[in-house]
Amino acid sequence: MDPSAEHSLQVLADVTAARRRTRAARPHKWIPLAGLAVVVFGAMPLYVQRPFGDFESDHSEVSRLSGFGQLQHSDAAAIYWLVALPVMYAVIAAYLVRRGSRSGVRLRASRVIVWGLILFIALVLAVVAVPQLQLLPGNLVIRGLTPLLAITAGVMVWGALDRDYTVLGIGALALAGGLVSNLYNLENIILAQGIDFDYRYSLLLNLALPALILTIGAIAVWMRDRVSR
Amino acid sequence: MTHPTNSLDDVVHQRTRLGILAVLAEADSVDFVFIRQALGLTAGNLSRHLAVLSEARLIAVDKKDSAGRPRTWVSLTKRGRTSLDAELAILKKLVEAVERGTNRGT
Repeated sequence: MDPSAEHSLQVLADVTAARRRTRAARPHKWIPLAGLAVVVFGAMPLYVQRPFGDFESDHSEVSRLSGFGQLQHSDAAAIYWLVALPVMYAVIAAYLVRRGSRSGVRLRASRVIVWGLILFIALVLAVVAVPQLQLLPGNLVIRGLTPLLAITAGVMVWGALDRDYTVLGIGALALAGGLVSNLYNLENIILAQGIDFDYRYSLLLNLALPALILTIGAIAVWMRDRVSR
Repeated sequence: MTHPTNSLDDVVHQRTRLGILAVLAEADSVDFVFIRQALGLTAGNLSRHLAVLSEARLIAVDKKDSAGRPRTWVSLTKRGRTSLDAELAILKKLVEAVERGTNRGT
């Protein structure tokens, strides 16, 4: 073999080994994805709908505006997102900073956290401050699932800023799933199969779709990073 | 037609410096100690190579106090990433060209 080609092969092998070692030491990217999936799964108990004919209005204006009004625990659902999501972002930031500091290989936490929070705050402000009919198309806000859009769009932005096309793809898929969940009753698919379904639990399917995409995405990123070490 | 080796950048192509850039490409910033251990270098040797890369604006060096001890964090600049990508593309091209020639010869 040509000596320069042999040298190039050796250099490429060294470069690959150095990259693998760095990848193994840096913070794991599957953890933020899994954390966000946990937040979505955690909302499930609060997404049981009111029985037919239950028109008691014990929920706030904000709950009604953002589509939580149909839920049995509408205010609890609204508060859950306002608390759980910032807390999860804080946990993710703490993990990224701690692991980066310990291993000596840092990933910028702001790419996950800042953009996730900016999108979430923008969503909250949009829902609260602007009359929904003027702002959002069609029935985007009637199911109380708009936080899914902020979470999944945040993942997409993180993937793009990190030039990580796997994370970007997972974010795009999850965002598509989030849009479907906000615009369509997924129970219709089950009902079309002739399976009876208590309508009060129908929103759980809508929550499960993006949560599953994020979970499968976390597993895919974990496997990718394991294989490439 | 020029041989691919003529396109190699001397600053980047040097084996240790290429290794440093490869390590930095996988993270936002990497600790001096980690780079030294990952590439099996002495502190003095690594400092000299970092100075060359910094001079060429391929990396940025940031010294910070962390938990009471000084740490040096090194990151790849946009220019550094472009140079690394270009270098790796040339090396791959070189290997492919030789492999094509070998296959034709057999």
